[in-house]
Amino acid sequence: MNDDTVLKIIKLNKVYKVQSASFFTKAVVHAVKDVSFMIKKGEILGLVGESGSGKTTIGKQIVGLGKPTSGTIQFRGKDILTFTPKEKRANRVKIQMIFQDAYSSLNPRKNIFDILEKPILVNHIASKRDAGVYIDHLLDLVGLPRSSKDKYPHEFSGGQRQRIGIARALSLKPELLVCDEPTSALDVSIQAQILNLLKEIRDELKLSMLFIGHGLGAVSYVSDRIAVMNQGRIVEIAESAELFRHPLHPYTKVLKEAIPIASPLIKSMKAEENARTQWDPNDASPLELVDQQTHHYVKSSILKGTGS
Amino acid sequence: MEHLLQIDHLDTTYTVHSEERILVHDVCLHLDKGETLCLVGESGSGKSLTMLSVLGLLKNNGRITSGSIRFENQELQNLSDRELDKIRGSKISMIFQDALTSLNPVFTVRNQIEEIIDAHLNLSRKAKKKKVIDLLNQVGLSDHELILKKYPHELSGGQRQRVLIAIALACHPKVLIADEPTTALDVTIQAEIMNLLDQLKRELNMALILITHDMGLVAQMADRVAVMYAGEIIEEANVNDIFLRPKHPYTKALLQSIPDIEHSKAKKIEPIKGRVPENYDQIKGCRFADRCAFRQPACTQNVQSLKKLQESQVRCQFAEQLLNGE
Repeated sequence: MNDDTVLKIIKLNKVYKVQSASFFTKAVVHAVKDVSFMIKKGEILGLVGESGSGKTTIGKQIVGLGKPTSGTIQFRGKDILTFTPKEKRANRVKIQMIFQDAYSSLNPRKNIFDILEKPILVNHIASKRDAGVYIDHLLDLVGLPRSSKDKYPHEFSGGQRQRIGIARALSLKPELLVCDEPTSALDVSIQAQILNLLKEIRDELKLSMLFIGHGLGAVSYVSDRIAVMNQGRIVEIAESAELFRHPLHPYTKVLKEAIPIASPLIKSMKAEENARTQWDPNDASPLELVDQQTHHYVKSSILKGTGS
Repeated sequence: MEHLLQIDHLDTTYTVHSEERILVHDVCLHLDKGETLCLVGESGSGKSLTMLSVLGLLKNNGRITSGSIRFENQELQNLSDRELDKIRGSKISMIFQDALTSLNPVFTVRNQIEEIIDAHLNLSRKAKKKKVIDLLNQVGLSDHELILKKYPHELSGGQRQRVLIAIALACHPKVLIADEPTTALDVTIQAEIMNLLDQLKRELNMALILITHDMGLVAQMADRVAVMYAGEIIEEANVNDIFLRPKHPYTKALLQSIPDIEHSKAKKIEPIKGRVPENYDQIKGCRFADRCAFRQPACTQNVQSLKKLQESQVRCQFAEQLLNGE
């Protein structure tokens, strides 16, 4: 394993027990099935798929909000699932998360200074005396005026709230940022601001990110590589330009076709009625390398099926 | 030519904290039979409010303060609520973004489709039953008996939206207003719903007003486009003109802020700086001036009005100069 691998996930499985139709029995939802991938230092990996495909579940397992049923999550070479509580606490600082709904993830009764100061003090990132200067620096980094410190979350617009969420995540100097649909609640013009901000931060701080999203345009814009999930499994993974130029898995093709392209000259947004019968949702075959150059992997059953 | 629906100089005022705020200003729109008009803009730009004004669905603190709304040569504002009820849901239907909250959780799909038929059409039990099945077929829900017995929470997001469309279509509307009908859905389901709307529009010769903030959907669906910003229409043109020859700086900026999946690495998206002004009704000049890359001193002083420029209507006094590459 290379030294620059920040996150490595091997055969991750997550099974949830849910209430079934009958009161006395429990049903089982296999949310994540045999998922493996890795993220290098400074790399942004996009994770796309429809709702219920398990994207967010993976993100949650990585930041420690839930325990996987089986599999390993290695962060800088160490399996975080075998950590003692003390190690876990130390590690938690290194992996931070940005949420979809920035508003509900900010305490409405605290001003921005307090919201940002608390994690800094708790984790000894800066002393109480230096916290003010550090917070100014963070606000500069995410493009908010320093005067924001005295304001409360409700005084900000959606885009600004997301910037606060990003500032809070960055305050602990993480090495990995899990972004769970950070722009899906924002308007396009504001979405563009946040996407560019995330890219700038990556370049500046050499951060690694897992960018979960269903807006394919946004995901392909920020990501170096994209993994496509369908029903709990990764079905295809490749560099982002390659993935949409040469999609191999039928689900990736369906996704691509469905995107409304912002040009009246290109006819897109096709929906085939029986598209979903083109692949087996329980296809357990491993991912196989198609192209070394573009790191293109796809389910091996697809390659056999087409005979290529 | 007479238009099916014609809105002239519409102002909608809301009283917020005992302050009068004109949230929709000087909106002029028209819609012809069988055409798709897309109303596009960021949240809070007044798209939905414009359409709610048309249907007389404003909240108690809102009212239309000037302008006219004519549907089939009839001024809608002069109608009583009862007269309006005959048009709403029958000649003009609307579907909303959140299909789950639009459906009543304690009634089955059958109840909810039959309700609209009972309200507007006088059908026998047998004819009603057939009508319900026909509607389900139209919106692509084939497993009739099963679907009809279900409650909204038992349906998927796409199925719920299809049920809403079925309800909206029950009385053969001439105009269907769809307010962000697919924002909450996955792209693949979105494509299915949009194709369905497009196909139904053709089959039934309906006019469709699609409210959206997704320029991709606009490009794929629209015949004509009206771009709204801060309560005003700032550009209106046919779809090709909007995308290939945008004239208002806001339309241009909006198009540049969309990530493109295939050339994403090569093309850096240009976000629009700042955000939509809060008390936009108090701005005297151009409401976009603050964020505009081509701002002139005159922009903030002169009241801007929609003017014809080539095939478009543009609310920017410098549009022509910009076009000529000044």
